[in-house]
Amino acid sequence: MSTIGLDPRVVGTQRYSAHVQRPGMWHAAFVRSPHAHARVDRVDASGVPDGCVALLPEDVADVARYGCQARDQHVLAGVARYAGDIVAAVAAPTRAAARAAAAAVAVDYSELPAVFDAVEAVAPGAPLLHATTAESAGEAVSIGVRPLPGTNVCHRFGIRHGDVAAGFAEADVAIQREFRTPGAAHAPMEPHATLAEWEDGRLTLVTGTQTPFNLRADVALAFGMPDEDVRVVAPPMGGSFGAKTFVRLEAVVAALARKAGRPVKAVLDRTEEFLTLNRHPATIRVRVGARRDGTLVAKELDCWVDTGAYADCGPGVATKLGYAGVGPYRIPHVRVDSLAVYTNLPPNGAYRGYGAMQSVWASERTMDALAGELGISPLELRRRNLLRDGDTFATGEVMHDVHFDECLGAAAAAVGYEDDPRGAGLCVLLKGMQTPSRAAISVERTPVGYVVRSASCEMGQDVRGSIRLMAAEQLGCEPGQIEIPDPDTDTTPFDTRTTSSRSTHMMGRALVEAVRDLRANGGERGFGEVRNEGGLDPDTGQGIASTHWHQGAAAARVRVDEETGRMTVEHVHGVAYAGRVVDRTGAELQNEGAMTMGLGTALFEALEFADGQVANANLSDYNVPAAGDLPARFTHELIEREGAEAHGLGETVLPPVPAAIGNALHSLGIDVFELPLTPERVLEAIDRR
Amino acid sequence: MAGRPQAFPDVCADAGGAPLDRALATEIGRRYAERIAPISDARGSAEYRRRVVAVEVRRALEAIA
Repeated sequence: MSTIGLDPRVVGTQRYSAHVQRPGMWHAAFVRSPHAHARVDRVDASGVPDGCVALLPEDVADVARYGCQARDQHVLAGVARYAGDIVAAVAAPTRAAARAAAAAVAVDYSELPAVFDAVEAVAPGAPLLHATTAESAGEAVSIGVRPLPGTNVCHRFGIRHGDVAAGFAEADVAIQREFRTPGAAHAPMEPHATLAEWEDGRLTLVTGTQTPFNLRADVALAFGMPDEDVRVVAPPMGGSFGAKTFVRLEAVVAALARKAGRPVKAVLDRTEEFLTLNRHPATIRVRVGARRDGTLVAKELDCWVDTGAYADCGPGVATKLGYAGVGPYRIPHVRVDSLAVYTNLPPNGAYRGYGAMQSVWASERTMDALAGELGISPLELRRRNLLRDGDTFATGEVMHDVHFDECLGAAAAAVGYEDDPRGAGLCVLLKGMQTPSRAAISVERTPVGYVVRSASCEMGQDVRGSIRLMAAEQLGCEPGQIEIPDPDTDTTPFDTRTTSSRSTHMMGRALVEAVRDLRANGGERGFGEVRNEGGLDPDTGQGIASTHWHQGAAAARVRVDEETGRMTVEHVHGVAYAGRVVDRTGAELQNEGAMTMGLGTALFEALEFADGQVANANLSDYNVPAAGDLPARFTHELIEREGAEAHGLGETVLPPVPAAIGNALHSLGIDVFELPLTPERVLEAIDRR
Repeated sequence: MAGRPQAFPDVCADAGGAPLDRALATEIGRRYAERIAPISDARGSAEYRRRVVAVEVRRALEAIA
C-alpha cells in the first residue's frame, strides 16, 4: 500500500529522536539518588562490568553549572536535591547492559533535611537547597531574575500598581481566599530522547526539544565552547507540552559521549519521565476589594510557586503566573508578589499554560466568591470590570485588540448561563505571549518550489503545516511545494523558542519579511527577522508584559451526586480569540487538546509524593484523560476578526477549564479551593456548606 | 474496597423477612460500611470509602426492592 500523502504519524513512518542511530552508538542509563536531599560522599563504579563506561564526578569537574534562568544545575549532582537527581551515568553497547551497569554503581550518601512544600520552604529555618546561584545570561532570561539571598526564593516577581492600602480603604467589600494546585506530569506519549556525538571538538545533539537555540547556548556555556561548536538538531516530538525544554538530558549525555569516545543515546522510561520535569504546584492567596456596585478597586496576590530542586524557567513561570492572576480587569490598585521557591521535589518547568492555570484558578474562583458577597451575578460582575480597548492593565500597558467581553459572552451563551446559572460556572482570562522575543525565517527557491527554514519545533501541533500554508499563500504556490526541514542550529535561522503559543504569529510575520526580501532580490532567496519588544521590571511589574494578549474563556455545566461527591461534567465550552485563523483544523485541535488537559487538571491529575519520591510515577496511578472522561458536550469556538493578526491559542483554553468547573460547583454552594476536584473533596465541601 | 468482593450474609440474615424499605436498606448499608476495612491511598481515604459503601449498598438494595 502506498503511504505517499498519508500523515507519517498515522502510518508509523514518523521518525523521532529515539529512532536516531549512529555508527558505534552506545546507550545511556542513569544512577539516580533515592534521597530527596543528600550529599554524595562516594561514587563507586568498581562493580560496573568491563565494556561499559561510567561517568563519575571527576569526569565532569570541568563542566560549569548551567540553567536557562539561574545557573544552578550540574551535569552530575554532588548534592542530590531531589529523589531522581542524576549522580552518575553509564554507557554500554545495549540499553539493557547500560541499565544493569547503572544498578551496579554503589553510591554513599549523607542525608540532609528536606522540604517538600513552597510555603514551608520560605519559613525561617527551612533547609536551604542552593547556597549561591549565578543568573543566567542568555536569550531565555527575558526578565531580571531576583533571588532573595539566604533563602529558597530563586525569584521574586512583584507588581506595584497604584496604592493597595488606599484602594482597600475605598472598598465597600473585601474578601480573601487561599487556593492550592498540585504538581502534574506532562505525560507526553514519546519519552525524552537525546543523542550526543563529538567530532573534532564539535558536539552534535539530536534531541527532542522545543528550544534548540537556548539549548545550544546553555550546553556551549557549560562545556566552555563557542555556540558555533554545538549543533542541535530537533526531530519532531511525540508530544511535549513544555517537558522538552532547555537542558534536560543533553549535558549528561554529551559528557558520557565525551568520556566514551563514541556517540551515546539516552531514551527515558516512563518512570523517569516523572522525575525529569513537572508542573509547578502553587499556593495562592487572593484578596480583592470592590465597591457595592461591583467595581473592583484593589487586588493583592501572594503566590508561592514550587519550582522544585532547580529553577529551570521557574522565574518566568512565577512572573507569568503573577500577572495572569490579576485577570483581564480594570483594577486601579494592584499588588502581586509571586515567589519561585526551591523544594526537594523534581524540578518544575514549562507546562502548557505556563503558570496561568494556577493563578486563573485562584483569581476566577475569587471573582465568584466576590459576586456572592455582593449579590451580583458572576457574569455581571465580570462584565462591569473587563478591560476594554484603551484601558490600562496592572503592568501599566495600554490594552489594544481587546475581546474579553466577547469571549466571556460566547462561553456564557454556549451553556445557557443567563437562563440557568445554577450548576454553571464561568472563567475569562488573559495570558501573555513571550515578550521580548525574536523570530527569523529563510526562504530559498528550489526546482520544484521552495525550502523554508524555521526553528519552530514540531511536537504534534503541526506548526510546519501552518508555516507551509502561510508560505504558499505569500509565494503563490501549493503547500506541497514547500519543504521545511527539521530545525538545525547549523543552518536554521534563530528563533527564541517554540513555546508560549507564539510560533504561528511570529513566524508568520517573519515570513512576510522574508518573502519581501526574496522578491526584492531576484526571487532566489530571502531572509526575514522580526522582534517583539518589551518586558517587565521584575520589582514593580511595570512595562510591557506582552505585545499582544492571548484571550479566552470557558464555561462549564455540572451536576453532582451529593451523597458521594461524584461530579458529572455535562458540558464544557472553550472560547479562544484567534484573530486570523491560518489552519482551522489545527486551531480547533489545539482548543480540544488544551481543554482536555484542563479537564485532567480539574478532575484527577496530581503528582503524589512520599518523602519527596513520586509515588504515582506510572500511567496507571497517575491518570490522564481518556475518551470516556470527556463530557457529553465538549465544544469550543474560535473568535476571528477580518484583518487581525494571528493570535496564538495552543494554550489559551487550558487554564479556564478548572476554574469554570470549580465555579459551577460554587453555584451549587460547593466551594472547593484545591485541585483536583476529586469526589472526596467535593463531598467534604458539601459537608461544609 | 478490597482484593476480592466482600459479602456479609449475616448482615442480611439479621433482616429476617422484614420488608426491604429505605430504612432497612440504609441499615444494611451502614453495617456493610462498618464491616469493610478499606485502605487510604491517593484515590481516597478509608473514611470516604466507608461512607460511599454505605450509600452504594443502600442504593443497590433500593434498586432491587
